[in-house]
Amino acid sequence: MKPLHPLWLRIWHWANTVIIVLLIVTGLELGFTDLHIFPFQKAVLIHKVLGFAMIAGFLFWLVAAVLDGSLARCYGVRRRDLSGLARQARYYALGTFKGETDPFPTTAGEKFNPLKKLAYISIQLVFTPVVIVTGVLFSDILLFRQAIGFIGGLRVLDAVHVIAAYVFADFIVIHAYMATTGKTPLSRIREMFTGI
Amino acid sequence: MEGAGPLRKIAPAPYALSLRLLAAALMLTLLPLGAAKAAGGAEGCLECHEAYVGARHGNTGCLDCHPGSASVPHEGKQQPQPCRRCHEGTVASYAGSGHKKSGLACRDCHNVHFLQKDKGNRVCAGCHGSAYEAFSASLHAKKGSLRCTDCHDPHAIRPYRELGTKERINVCAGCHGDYLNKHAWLPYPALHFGYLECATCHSRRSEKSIVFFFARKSPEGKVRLPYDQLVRLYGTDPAGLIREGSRDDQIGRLFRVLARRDKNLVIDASVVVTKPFHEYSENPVEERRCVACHSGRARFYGSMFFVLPGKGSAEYIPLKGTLLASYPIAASTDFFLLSKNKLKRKDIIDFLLLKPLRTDRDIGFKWIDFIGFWLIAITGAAICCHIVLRLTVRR
Repeated sequence: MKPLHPLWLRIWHWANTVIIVLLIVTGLELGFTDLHIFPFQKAVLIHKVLGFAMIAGFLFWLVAAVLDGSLARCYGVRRRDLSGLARQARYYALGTFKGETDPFPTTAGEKFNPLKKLAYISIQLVFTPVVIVTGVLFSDILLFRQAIGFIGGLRVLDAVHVIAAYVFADFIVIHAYMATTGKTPLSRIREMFTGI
Repeated sequence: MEGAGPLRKIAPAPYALSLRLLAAALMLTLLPLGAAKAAGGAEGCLECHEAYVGARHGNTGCLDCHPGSASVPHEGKQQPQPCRRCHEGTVASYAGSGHKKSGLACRDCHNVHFLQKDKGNRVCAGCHGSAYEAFSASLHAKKGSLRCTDCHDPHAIRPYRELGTKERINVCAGCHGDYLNKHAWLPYPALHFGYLECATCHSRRSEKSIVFFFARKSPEGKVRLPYDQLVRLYGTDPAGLIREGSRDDQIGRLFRVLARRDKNLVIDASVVVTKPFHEYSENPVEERRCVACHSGRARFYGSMFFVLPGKGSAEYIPLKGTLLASYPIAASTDFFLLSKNKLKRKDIIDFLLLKPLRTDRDIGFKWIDFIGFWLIAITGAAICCHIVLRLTVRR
């Protein structure tokens, strides 16, 4: 039986989860220096190392998703996705409480319903590249000084990076909750470990 | 003639006069050769002007500065030659100095007849007593034999409030030229030293402020906008333009007017001393933490100024700090202090207590945190409602 989530995807998913959570926690220390979650210098170092780990992970995901065809299959937008957005939103808002069936059930071939697809495209193909590019520019502000000046300076760079970080944080909260909306509260989480 | 009395009293006898004339002729012959030592040129003068016995002003003689006194008796009070006759360069640089602007003349600091090479710091201490007192107790004074003039050129000195970071650092760099190597522990030392001066860390009792100013971008870097360029750009002197009220906004508006006329204009900033305490020997190793400056606890956040170039001197305009929070979005590219523009617990409480909403400029970059915080809070609340509904319908 073909697994719903291939092994490479599961490994990347959980590694990426740990990396992003730690990036958010260390990022909070960098932004809100009065929090004292970590010593500041350690937070800078951890944030930087994890940032590059996230880049490596993203490139790994991109290559693997292109090679196994899941990028085109799962992230390709079709007309029915657009028309299905409202149906899926209605299901989450009402149908799920009435015991209706999911209008776009998860299968190995069609893993994302229209709302999920919109969320994953935003995260994987928009906000991840944004947070990566701004993070790389932050990693050596002297080396990338011209590029930073071109986009409006450090403060603008910080603003863009932080906006992307808030989107990531919000995504994680929603994503973690949605993982409990399977047949049982833990079934989808189990799927992401076992693949089936 | 009243002034001739004493001269007549000691008027020389005819034979003595001949000798004097001979001596005077000899002296005048030697003067062009530079041999007119103080004693040589003064021998005759000192018989009348006893108060100047022992006077010394380099190699000059009395007649070098008082050429009209060569004939005896003199007629009326003799005006001395101006100092610039010999000290042309010094007087020229002094013309633009802060001391000159304060109305000080050469004689206020120098006793021209009893000039000594090394007068210590007493001359300066006469006016700058508290600075001298603080300096005397410092390590600089104890370890070295430093004089005020080792760091300050009294003939070219400018008010410290008009100096940029580079000029301030140059005062220390005269001895501590390897300061960048010594601060290798600091991330991006050259970048930091573009925005700080040595005393920002090495003088804890000096008051520090964030100082904003107009600057022009050029291939060589950013250069402070001088008064004449500001007037040319604005069309008139903007002095007095910034009045009571929301000065941050007024400066922001002025900047926008100027920036439309000069695309290279930016608002730049630095963290500098605005009230010095002359103890610059402190080495607070424990302060070598990023958060010493990059956090809301940094003391200089409480003191912010905009420096508007003026005709005579720069005007320090106190700010609330919203200039830091919002306007430099398109103005200051590098000056960036963490935390100041971050949302505080008080901001959230104010919002919940429905306190009057502040303008976007008061919030500044905090809107990012503000929206981010409420986005996650509302998401969390929505999830909680969803969970409750799921449990209610047992789905």
